[in-house]
Order: sequence, then C-alpha cells, then structure tokens
Amino acid sequence: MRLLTLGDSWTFGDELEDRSNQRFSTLISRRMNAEVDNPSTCGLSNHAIARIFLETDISAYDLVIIQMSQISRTEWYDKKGVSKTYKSKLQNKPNMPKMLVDWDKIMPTKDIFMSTGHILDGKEWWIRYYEELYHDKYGESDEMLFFHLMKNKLTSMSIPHLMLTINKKTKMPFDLQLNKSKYPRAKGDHPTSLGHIMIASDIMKLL
Amino acid sequence: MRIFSNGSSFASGKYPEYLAKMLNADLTNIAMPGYSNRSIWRTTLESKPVDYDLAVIQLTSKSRTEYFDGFWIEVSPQLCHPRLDDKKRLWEYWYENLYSDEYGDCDENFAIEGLRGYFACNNIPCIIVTTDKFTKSKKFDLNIFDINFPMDKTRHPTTIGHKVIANKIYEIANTRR
Repeated sequence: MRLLTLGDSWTFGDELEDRSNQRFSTLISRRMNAEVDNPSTCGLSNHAIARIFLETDISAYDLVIIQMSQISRTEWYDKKGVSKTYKSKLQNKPNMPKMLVDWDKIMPTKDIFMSTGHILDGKEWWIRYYEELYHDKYGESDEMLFFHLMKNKLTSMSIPHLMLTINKKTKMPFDLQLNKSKYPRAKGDHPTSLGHIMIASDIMKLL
Repeated sequence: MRIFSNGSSFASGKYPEYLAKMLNADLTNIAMPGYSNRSIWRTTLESKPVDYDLAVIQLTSKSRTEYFDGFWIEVSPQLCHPRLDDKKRLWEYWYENLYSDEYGDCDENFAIEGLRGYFACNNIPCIIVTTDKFTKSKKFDLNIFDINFPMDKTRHPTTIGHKVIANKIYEIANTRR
C-alpha cells in the first residue's frame, strides 16, 4: 500500500525534533503498514500544492491526503533566478529539486518570503501586490478552484482521499480542520509531537 | 440535448449557437470577451453546470489573468481594460519582470485539469479548445488556429469563420456521443 501526503509546514512536520518519525504522515503509514511519500515543504501555497499534485503520478497511490494552506500565499516562477529568496535557497540547499527552486514562495506574513528584489517605485513589488491588488476574495477563489481541481481528479480516478486545511475561515467542505486549539502547538504555531499523534488519530477515524 | 459553453471573445460569438443548432440542442453560453483562463475556470465552477449533455469550453491566451477589486477585472499584456486605472503600472511591471511562459503554462494546465475534472465528476462529456496559438499543451481537443477560418479586422472569426469552427467542434462532439 502506498500513501501520499502533500501540504505545507504542518504536513512537513516543521518544529518537530525527529520530523521523519514524529510527523502525522509517518504515524498513519505505520498504522496502515503503508509506504509513504511526503513532498511537503514549509511555505507552500495552494497554488504550489496544486502544481506539485499535478506533477505527481497520483495513480501510484492507494490513499492521498492533501493539506491545503493559507489563502493569501502564492508563488511565481523565477525564470532568471534573480529573487533574493532564490539565491538563499541555493546557498542553503544546493541539491534542492529544481521544481522547488525555480518557483519562489510568496508569504505576506513572513518578510523572508517577501523580498524578491523586484523594486517598483522604491518598494518590493510583492508588498505592493498585497497592498494594492490582492483581495481575500481572490484567495478564496484560489482555494475553491484548487480544492475542486484536486478532489475531482482524485474522485474521477477512484483514489481514496482526504482533504485537510489549516485555513480557519474556509468555506470549503474539508474533511478535517487542523487549525484547532485542541492540537498542542510549538512556539512557531506548528503542532507538537503530541499534536501530530492527535491529528493522525483523527485522520484514522475518517478512513 | 443541452450544451454548456464558456470561453472568451471567440465563444461569445456565434459558433456555440451554430453548434447547438447542428445538434438540435438548448444552449447555455456564459462566455465573455476578455475572459482569462482563470475567469473561464472560475465562472464555470461558480455556475455549477449539471444536467448537461455536452460542455464546450474555449480557453484563451495563457498570459491573461484577473484580480478582484470590488468586481473581477480582466488583465492581459495589452492592459486595455478600462477599469485598470492606477493599477496599470503594477501589472506592466508584472508582465515585464515577473510573468513567464512557465507561469502561464502552469495556470493553463490548472484550468484544463480543473475543468476536465469537474465535468468528469458530473458525467458531462467535455470538449476543450483553445485560441492560444502558441500553447505547448497536448491536452486540448482542438487548437482553433489549427483550422483555416476567415477572420475580420479584429482577428476574430467572421460569420463564416464561426460556422467553420462549429463544424469542426461538431465532428469532435460526434466522436463523444
């Protein structure tokens, strides 16, 4: 049996001491005696999650768990490799897959993901994007489109799946809301090892 | 028989009507000139078409997009939407410095997969055509610019052009019935 889990830092297992053993994807795979692939990384947007989903051969999996993210995040394709975050990624992780390096994450809540070096009238373009162009209605429609894209593809391929989210305000019919106070959090707001145990337990109840 | 149609300026012309007549079908056509692939995908899902026997979707140039400012505003590299106002400079910068074909390819693929998945789950046969002459995607049923049809000065099909397009889509539709 093969399991795919895909999401952002919550599914990646950020802030866990022993990530590969403590994150909920590993806990579920052990209970199901399944092999697990988890290409999740910190800061992924719904755009990125849907893109990686389409780049993945999902027919190879018996169960797919998608964790969608905050609606305001996005990404852009840094063709020329000029982004400041792009350069720091290369310095830190020279072997990082190209599909993750070329696409530059944009997160309005973290300065490090808001400095691409594209300055328009003295201000980073992405800061201006959030100030002048972005609207929650756009983020909500992104969430709606990507939710249906992934769910419909999995349904049409008859692949069992669960849709999870960390967006507290979502209007979409997710199977499980992870952003709940009952799951204990670490300093950076990600679930602790106990939080991951509880999430894995709640996911198992849905299967 | 019932047909659902969406798309941009080509689909808001006459070919969907000609196709509906050929198939003796009732037509719902929500196409609008200037729509981007994202708008076409979004408005299709928002209108939740069910109980149709055929969907014909015309996608467009992959570089187009949209944003929300009280209402949805279409954006293309021509930046000709009258409501762009002071946002024009921001979008100019986007196209000059941040947009790439790879980004457009990705968004085009989202729209194709999103639309195909929706119609597959609702058991509605779906034909997706494009007016993006330069698309690299092999997922379209037809690139309209692969067929010869007469165009007017605005590079849109003439009345005869719409009939030629309808005939070609009719041929494809017959293979799906």
